[in-house]
Amino acid sequence: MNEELREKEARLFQSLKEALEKSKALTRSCLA
Amino acid sequence: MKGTAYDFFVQWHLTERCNLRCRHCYQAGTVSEMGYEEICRAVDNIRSAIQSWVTEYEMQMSPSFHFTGGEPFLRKDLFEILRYVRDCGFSVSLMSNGTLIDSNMACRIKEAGVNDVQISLDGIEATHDSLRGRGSYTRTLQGIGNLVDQGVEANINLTVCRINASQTARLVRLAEELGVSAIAFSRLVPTGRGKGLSDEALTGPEVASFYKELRKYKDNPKVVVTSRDPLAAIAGMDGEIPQAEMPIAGCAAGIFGVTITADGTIMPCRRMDLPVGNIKEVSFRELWAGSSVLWALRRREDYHGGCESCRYWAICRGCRAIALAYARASGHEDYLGPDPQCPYHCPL
Repeated sequence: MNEELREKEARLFQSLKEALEKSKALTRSCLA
Repeated sequence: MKGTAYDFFVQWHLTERCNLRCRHCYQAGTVSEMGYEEICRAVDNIRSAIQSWVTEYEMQMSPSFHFTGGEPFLRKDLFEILRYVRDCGFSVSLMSNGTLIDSNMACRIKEAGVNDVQISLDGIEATHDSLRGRGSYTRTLQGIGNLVDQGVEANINLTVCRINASQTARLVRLAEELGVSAIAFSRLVPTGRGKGLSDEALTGPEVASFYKELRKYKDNPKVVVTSRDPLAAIAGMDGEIPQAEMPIAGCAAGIFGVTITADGTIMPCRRMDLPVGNIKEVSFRELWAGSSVLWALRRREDYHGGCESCRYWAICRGCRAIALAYARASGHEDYLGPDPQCPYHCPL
Protein backbone atom coordinates (compact mmCIF):
# COMPACT_ATOMS: atom_id res chain seq x y z
CA MET A 1 0.00 0.00 0.00
CA ASN A 2 1.50 3.33 -1.02
CA GLU A 3 1.85 6.37 1.19
CA GLU A 4 -1.05 8.25 -0.39
CA LEU A 5 -3.44 5.36 0.24
CA ARG A 6 -2.20 4.97 3.80
CA GLU A 7 -2.97 8.63 4.44
CA LYS A 8 -6.44 8.23 2.95
CA GLU A 9 -7.05 5.14 5.04
CA ALA A 10 -5.90 6.85 8.22
CA ARG A 11 -8.18 9.80 7.51
CA LEU A 12 -11.09 7.45 6.82
CA PHE A 13 -10.77 5.53 10.06
CA GLN A 14 -10.19 8.64 12.14
CA SER A 15 -13.43 10.12 10.74
CA LEU A 16 -15.22 6.81 11.19
CA LYS A 17 -14.20 6.59 14.84
CA GLU A 18 -15.49 10.08 15.51
CA ALA A 19 -18.71 9.37 13.65
CA LEU A 20 -19.33 6.04 15.34
CA GLU A 21 -19.04 7.70 18.74
CA LYS A 22 -22.05 9.81 17.78
CA SER A 23 -24.02 6.94 16.35
CA LYS A 24 -25.07 5.01 19.42
CA ALA A 25 -28.59 3.61 19.14
CA LEU A 26 -28.91 4.53 15.49
CA THR A 27 -29.62 1.97 12.78
CA ARG A 28 -26.52 1.67 10.66
CA SER A 29 -26.84 -1.18 8.26
CA CYS A 30 -28.88 -1.60 5.13
CA LEU A 31 -28.82 -5.02 3.57
CA ALA A 32 -30.26 -5.05 0.13
CA MET B 1 -11.11 2.06 19.96
CA LYS B 2 -13.38 2.60 22.90
CA GLY B 3 -17.08 2.86 22.22
CA THR B 4 -19.27 1.73 19.36
CA ALA B 5 -18.30 -1.23 17.22
CA TYR B 6 -17.85 -0.89 13.49
CA ASP B 7 -20.48 -3.33 12.20
CA PHE B 8 -18.89 -3.96 8.83
CA PHE B 9 -20.77 -6.40 6.61
CA VAL B 10 -20.25 -8.20 3.34
CA GLN B 11 -23.35 -9.12 1.37
CA TRP B 12 -22.24 -11.91 -0.91
CA HIS B 13 -24.29 -13.16 -3.85
CA LEU B 14 -22.79 -16.63 -4.27
CA THR B 15 -24.86 -17.35 -7.35
CA GLU B 16 -27.31 -15.53 -9.55
CA ARG B 17 -29.12 -18.75 -10.36
CA CYS B 18 -32.57 -18.81 -8.81
CA ASN B 19 -35.52 -21.19 -8.71
CA LEU B 20 -37.90 -18.21 -8.83
CA ARG B 21 -38.17 -15.34 -11.28
CA CYS B 22 -39.58 -12.48 -9.26
CA ARG B 23 -40.97 -9.46 -11.07
CA HIS B 24 -39.30 -6.97 -8.75
CA CYS B 25 -35.84 -8.57 -8.55
CA TYR B 26 -32.90 -6.17 -8.82
CA GLN B 27 -31.05 -8.84 -10.75
CA ALA B 28 -31.58 -8.99 -14.49
CA GLY B 29 -29.25 -11.71 -15.79
CA THR B 30 -26.64 -14.20 -14.65
CA VAL B 31 -22.87 -14.06 -14.36
CA SER B 32 -20.18 -16.70 -13.90
CA GLU B 33 -19.62 -18.01 -10.37
CA MET B 34 -16.46 -18.10 -8.34
CA GLY B 35 -15.44 -21.56 -7.21
CA TYR B 36 -14.91 -22.61 -3.61
CA GLU B 37 -11.14 -22.02 -3.66
CA GLU B 38 -11.57 -18.56 -5.18
CA ILE B 39 -14.15 -17.70 -2.53
CA CYS B 40 -11.80 -18.80 0.25
CA ARG B 41 -9.04 -16.58 -1.16
CA ALA B 42 -11.49 -13.69 -1.37
CA VAL B 43 -12.54 -14.21 2.26
CA ASP B 44 -8.84 -14.19 3.21
CA ASN B 45 -8.45 -10.94 1.28
CA ILE B 46 -11.23 -9.30 3.29
CA ARG B 47 -10.07 -10.85 6.56
CA SER B 48 -6.61 -9.38 6.00
CA ALA B 49 -8.12 -5.91 5.53
CA ILE B 50 -10.22 -6.20 8.67
CA GLN B 51 -7.24 -7.39 10.70
CA SER B 52 -5.29 -4.36 9.49
CA TRP B 53 -8.09 -2.02 10.57
CA VAL B 54 -8.10 -3.59 14.02
CA THR B 55 -4.35 -3.57 14.57
CA GLU B 56 -3.47 -0.25 12.93
CA TYR B 57 -6.48 1.85 13.93
CA GLU B 58 -7.75 0.00 16.99
CA MET B 59 -11.15 -0.38 15.39
CA GLN B 60 -13.58 -2.43 17.45
CA MET B 61 -15.04 -4.64 14.74
CA SER B 62 -18.05 -6.92 14.55
CA PRO B 63 -17.86 -8.09 10.92
CA SER B 64 -20.51 -10.29 9.37
CA PHE B 65 -21.01 -12.11 6.08
CA HIS B 66 -24.51 -12.34 4.60
CA PHE B 67 -24.75 -14.95 1.86
CA THR B 68 -27.47 -14.83 -0.73
CA GLY B 69 -28.10 -15.30 -4.44
CA GLY B 70 -30.01 -15.74 -6.69
CA GLU B 71 -31.00 -18.47 -4.32
CA PRO B 72 -28.03 -19.47 -2.15
CA PHE B 73 -29.31 -23.02 -1.56
CA LEU B 74 -28.66 -23.77 -5.22
CA ARG B 75 -24.92 -23.72 -4.41
CA LYS B 76 -23.89 -27.29 -3.65
CA ASP B 77 -20.87 -26.06 -1.68
CA LEU B 78 -22.85 -23.55 0.41
CA PHE B 79 -22.19 -25.29 3.72
CA GLU B 80 -18.46 -25.68 2.99
CA ILE B 81 -18.32 -21.92 2.33
CA LEU B 82 -20.24 -21.19 5.54
CA ARG B 83 -17.86 -23.41 7.49
CA TYR B 84 -14.81 -21.66 6.08
CA VAL B 85 -16.13 -18.21 6.91
CA ARG B 86 -17.25 -19.28 10.39
CA ASP B 87 -13.81 -20.80 10.99
CA CYS B 88 -12.32 -17.42 10.10
CA GLY B 89 -14.24 -16.02 13.06
CA PHE B 90 -16.98 -14.19 11.18
CA SER B 91 -20.70 -14.22 11.87
CA VAL B 92 -22.66 -15.72 8.97
CA SER B 93 -26.24 -15.08 7.91
CA LEU B 94 -28.30 -16.16 4.94
CA MET B 95 -30.84 -14.37 2.74
CA SER B 96 -33.17 -16.66 0.82
CA ASN B 97 -36.62 -17.02 -0.68
CA GLY B 98 -37.16 -19.92 1.73
CA THR B 99 -38.68 -22.28 -0.80
CA LEU B 100 -35.84 -24.83 -0.66
CA ILE B 101 -35.63 -25.03 3.14
CA ASP B 102 -37.10 -28.37 4.09
CA SER B 103 -36.67 -29.78 7.60
CA ASN B 104 -33.36 -31.43 6.69
CA MET B 105 -31.98 -28.17 5.28
CA ALA B 106 -33.16 -26.28 8.35
CA CYS B 107 -31.30 -28.80 10.50
CA ARG B 108 -28.10 -28.28 8.48
CA ILE B 109 -28.46 -24.52 8.83
CA LYS B 110 -28.76 -24.90 12.57
CA GLU B 111 -25.70 -27.16 12.73
CA ALA B 112 -23.72 -24.72 10.56
CA GLY B 113 -24.05 -22.04 13.23
CA VAL B 114 -25.83 -19.59 10.98
CA ASN B 115 -26.77 -16.49 12.96
CA ASP B 116 -30.07 -15.84 11.20
CA VAL B 117 -31.89 -16.39 7.93
CA GLN B 118 -33.67 -13.52 6.21
CA ILE B 119 -36.59 -14.72 4.12
CA SER B 120 -38.22 -12.61 1.42
CA LEU B 121 -41.98 -12.41 1.68
CA ASP B 122 -43.81 -9.82 -0.35
CA GLY B 123 -47.39 -9.79 0.79
CA ILE B 124 -50.39 -11.92 1.48
CA GLU B 125 -50.65 -15.06 -0.64
CA ALA B 126 -52.18 -13.62 -3.81
CA THR B 127 -49.81 -10.66 -3.79
CA HIS B 128 -46.71 -12.70 -3.03
CA ASP B 129 -47.52 -15.24 -5.72
CA SER B 130 -48.26 -12.52 -8.27
CA LEU B 131 -44.75 -11.15 -7.70
CA ARG B 132 -42.82 -14.40 -7.13
CA GLY B 133 -44.77 -17.12 -8.90
CA ARG B 134 -47.72 -19.36 -8.14
CA GLY B 135 -47.24 -21.63 -5.14
CA SER B 136 -44.19 -19.80 -3.85
CA TYR B 137 -46.03 -18.31 -0.86
CA THR B 138 -46.90 -21.73 0.54
CA ARG B 139 -43.37 -23.04 0.06
CA THR B 140 -41.86 -19.90 1.61
CA LEU B 141 -44.07 -20.23 4.68
CA GLN B 142 -43.12 -23.89 4.98
CA GLY B 143 -39.46 -22.89 4.83
CA ILE B 144 -39.94 -20.33 7.60
CA GLY B 145 -41.79 -22.92 9.67
CA ASN B 146 -38.94 -25.40 9.27
CA LEU B 147 -36.41 -22.82 10.43
CA VAL B 148 -38.47 -21.85 13.45
CA ASP B 149 -39.02 -25.52 14.34
CA GLN B 150 -35.24 -26.02 14.35
CA GLY B 151 -34.71 -22.97 16.54
CA VAL B 152 -32.99 -20.98 13.77
CA GLU B 153 -33.62 -17.25 13.98
CA ALA B 154 -35.73 -16.34 10.96
CA ASN B 155 -36.78 -12.86 9.93
CA ILE B 156 -38.84 -11.55 7.04
CA ASN B 157 -37.89 -8.85 4.57
CA LEU B 158 -40.56 -7.32 2.39
CA THR B 159 -40.07 -5.10 -0.66
CA VAL B 160 -42.66 -2.35 -0.40
CA CYS B 161 -44.48 -0.88 -3.36
CA ARG B 162 -48.05 0.19 -4.09
CA ILE B 163 -49.02 -3.46 -4.63
CA ASN B 164 -48.46 -4.42 -0.98
CA ALA B 165 -48.18 -1.14 0.96
CA SER B 166 -51.65 -1.52 2.46
CA GLN B 167 -51.02 -5.01 3.88
CA THR B 168 -48.83 -4.07 6.84
CA ALA B 169 -51.28 -5.02 9.60
CA ARG B 170 -51.99 -8.44 8.11
CA LEU B 171 -48.28 -9.11 7.54
CA VAL B 172 -47.33 -8.15 11.08
CA ARG B 173 -49.98 -10.58 12.36
CA LEU B 174 -48.62 -13.26 10.03
CA ALA B 175 -45.08 -12.65 11.27
CA GLU B 176 -46.30 -13.06 14.85
CA GLU B 177 -48.04 -16.31 14.00
CA LEU B 178 -44.97 -17.66 12.21
CA GLY B 179 -42.72 -16.98 15.19
CA VAL B 180 -40.08 -14.99 13.30
CA SER B 181 -37.91 -12.50 15.17
CA ALA B 182 -38.59 -9.51 12.94
CA ILE B 183 -40.33 -8.23 9.86
CA ALA B 184 -38.53 -5.50 7.93
CA PHE B 185 -39.75 -3.34 5.08
CA SER B 186 -37.55 -2.07 2.22
CA ARG B 187 -38.54 0.17 -0.67
CA LEU B 188 -38.64 -1.22 -4.18
CA VAL B 189 -35.58 -0.20 -6.20
CA PRO B 190 -36.56 0.06 -9.87
CA THR B 191 -33.47 -1.62 -11.26
CA GLY B 192 -32.88 -4.97 -12.96
CA ARG B 193 -36.21 -6.71 -13.56
CA GLY B 194 -37.66 -4.30 -10.98
CA LYS B 195 -37.63 -1.60 -13.66
CA GLY B 196 -40.82 -3.18 -14.92
CA LEU B 197 -42.55 -2.16 -11.68
CA SER B 198 -41.39 1.49 -11.73
CA ASP B 199 -44.97 2.72 -11.79
CA GLU B 200 -45.66 0.83 -8.57
CA ALA B 201 -42.87 2.58 -6.62
CA LEU B 202 -44.09 4.80 -3.78
CA THR B 203 -44.06 8.57 -4.16
CA GLY B 204 -42.70 10.86 -1.44
CA PRO B 205 -46.10 11.41 0.22
CA GLU B 206 -46.80 7.68 0.04
CA VAL B 207 -43.45 6.94 1.69
CA ALA B 208 -44.31 9.39 4.48
CA SER B 209 -47.70 7.79 4.96
CA PHE B 210 -46.28 4.27 4.94
CA TYR B 211 -43.61 4.98 7.55
CA LYS B 212 -46.10 6.87 9.71
CA GLU B 213 -48.21 3.72 9.69
CA LEU B 214 -45.17 1.55 10.45
CA ARG B 215 -44.36 3.66 13.51
CA LYS B 216 -47.53 2.36 15.13
CA TYR B 217 -45.74 -0.97 15.57
CA LYS B 218 -42.64 0.55 17.19
CA ASP B 219 -43.24 -1.18 20.50
CA ASN B 220 -44.96 -4.27 19.13
CA PRO B 221 -44.43 -6.93 21.81
CA LYS B 222 -44.41 -10.13 19.74
CA VAL B 223 -42.23 -9.34 16.74
CA VAL B 224 -39.86 -6.51 15.85
CA VAL B 225 -41.38 -4.39 13.09
CA THR B 226 -38.69 -2.35 11.38
CA SER B 227 -37.21 -0.99 8.19
CA ARG B 228 -33.63 -0.73 6.99
CA ASP B 229 -34.60 2.14 4.73
CA PRO B 230 -32.70 5.30 5.75
CA LEU B 231 -35.92 7.29 5.37
CA ALA B 232 -37.70 5.11 7.92
CA ALA B 233 -35.23 6.18 10.59
CA ILE B 234 -35.92 9.81 9.75
CA ALA B 235 -39.65 9.22 10.06
CA GLY B 236 -39.11 8.05 13.63
CA MET B 237 -36.55 10.63 14.59
CA ASP B 238 -37.09 12.80 17.62
CA GLY B 239 -34.71 15.00 19.53
CA GLU B 240 -31.47 16.48 18.27
CA ILE B 241 -30.26 15.51 14.81
CA PRO B 242 -26.66 14.23 15.07
CA GLN B 243 -24.16 15.98 12.80
CA ALA B 244 -20.86 14.46 11.64
CA GLU B 245 -18.31 14.77 8.88
CA MET B 246 -18.70 11.07 8.02
CA PRO B 247 -22.08 9.32 7.72
CA ILE B 248 -22.96 7.59 10.98
CA ALA B 249 -26.18 5.81 10.04
CA GLY B 250 -28.67 5.36 7.25
CA CYS B 251 -27.55 4.13 3.85
CA ALA B 252 -24.68 1.67 4.24
CA ALA B 253 -23.09 2.26 0.84
CA GLY B 254 -19.45 3.24 1.12
CA ILE B 255 -19.47 3.15 4.91
CA PHE B 256 -20.71 0.01 6.59
CA GLY B 257 -20.40 -2.72 4.00
CA VAL B 258 -20.07 -3.90 0.44
CA THR B 259 -21.72 -6.31 -1.93
CA ILE B 260 -19.82 -8.98 -3.82
CA THR B 261 -21.55 -10.62 -6.75
CA ALA B 262 -21.10 -14.22 -7.91
CA ASP B 263 -18.24 -13.38 -10.27
CA GLY B 264 -16.38 -11.35 -7.64
CA THR B 265 -17.52 -7.88 -8.68
CA ILE B 266 -17.54 -5.49 -5.74
CA MET B 267 -20.34 -2.92 -5.50
CA PRO B 268 -21.25 -0.38 -2.81
CA CYS B 269 -24.71 -1.99 -2.72
CA ARG B 270 -26.22 -4.79 -4.81
CA ARG B 271 -29.09 -2.60 -5.85
CA MET B 272 -26.71 0.06 -7.16
CA ASP B 273 -25.12 -2.18 -9.81
CA LEU B 274 -22.04 0.06 -9.75
CA PRO B 275 -18.83 -2.00 -9.96
CA VAL B 276 -15.81 -0.60 -8.09
CA GLY B 277 -13.47 -3.59 -8.54
CA ASN B 278 -13.24 -7.35 -8.41
CA ILE B 279 -12.30 -9.23 -5.25
CA LYS B 280 -10.21 -11.67 -7.30
CA GLU B 281 -8.04 -8.85 -8.64
CA VAL B 282 -7.66 -6.18 -5.97
CA SER B 283 -6.45 -5.83 -2.42
CA PHE B 284 -9.69 -5.25 -0.54
CA ARG B 285 -7.89 -3.02 1.93
CA GLU B 286 -6.58 -0.80 -0.86
CA LEU B 287 -9.97 -0.67 -2.54
CA TRP B 288 -11.74 0.37 0.66
CA ALA B 289 -9.17 3.09 1.25
CA GLY B 290 -8.85 4.35 -2.29
CA SER B 291 -11.99 3.88 -4.39
CA SER B 292 -13.13 7.22 -5.75
CA VAL B 293 -16.75 6.01 -5.85
CA LEU B 294 -16.67 4.95 -2.19
CA TRP B 295 -15.07 8.26 -1.20
CA ALA B 296 -17.71 10.22 -3.09
CA LEU B 297 -20.40 8.37 -1.16
CA ARG B 298 -18.70 9.43 2.09
CA ARG B 299 -18.39 13.18 1.36
CA ARG B 300 -21.30 15.56 1.83
CA GLU B 301 -19.83 18.08 -0.61
CA ASP B 302 -20.05 15.57 -3.47
CA TYR B 303 -23.84 15.26 -3.12
CA HIS B 304 -26.20 17.54 -4.99
CA GLY B 305 -29.87 18.16 -5.55
CA GLY B 306 -30.98 17.84 -1.93
CA CYS B 307 -29.07 15.60 0.49
CA GLU B 308 -26.02 17.87 0.68
CA SER B 309 -28.12 20.64 2.21
CA CYS B 310 -30.15 18.43 4.54
CA ARG B 311 -29.73 18.27 8.32
CA TYR B 312 -30.29 14.52 8.15
CA TRP B 313 -27.36 13.85 5.79
CA ALA B 314 -25.10 12.13 8.35
CA ILE B 315 -27.81 9.71 9.40
CA CYS B 316 -29.59 9.18 6.10
CA ARG B 317 -28.29 10.20 2.60
CA GLY B 318 -31.46 8.67 1.19
CA CYS B 319 -31.26 5.38 -0.65
CA ARG B 320 -28.33 5.74 -3.05
CA ALA B 321 -29.63 2.82 -5.12
CA ILE B 322 -32.99 4.51 -5.67
CA ALA B 323 -31.27 7.80 -6.49
CA LEU B 324 -29.12 6.02 -9.08
CA ALA B 325 -32.02 4.01 -10.53
CA TYR B 326 -34.07 7.17 -11.14
CA ALA B 327 -31.05 9.03 -12.54
CA ARG B 328 -30.37 6.18 -14.95
CA ALA B 329 -34.00 6.20 -16.04
CA SER B 330 -33.37 9.82 -17.06
CA GLY B 331 -30.15 8.91 -18.84
CA HIS B 332 -27.70 10.04 -16.14
CA GLU B 333 -25.08 7.95 -14.37
CA ASP B 334 -25.49 9.79 -11.07
CA TYR B 335 -25.48 8.13 -7.65
CA LEU B 336 -25.10 11.35 -5.63
CA GLY B 337 -28.32 13.13 -6.61
CA PRO B 338 -31.56 13.30 -4.65
CA ASP B 339 -33.58 10.32 -3.49
CA PRO B 340 -36.72 11.27 -5.43
CA GLN B 341 -39.03 9.53 -2.97
CA CYS B 342 -37.76 11.46 0.07
CA PRO B 343 -40.44 13.52 1.85
CA TYR B 344 -38.22 14.60 4.77
CA HIS B 345 -35.70 17.14 3.43
CA CYS B 346 -34.77 19.49 6.26
CA PRO B 347 -32.56 22.46 5.22
CA LEU B 348 -29.39 23.14 7.20
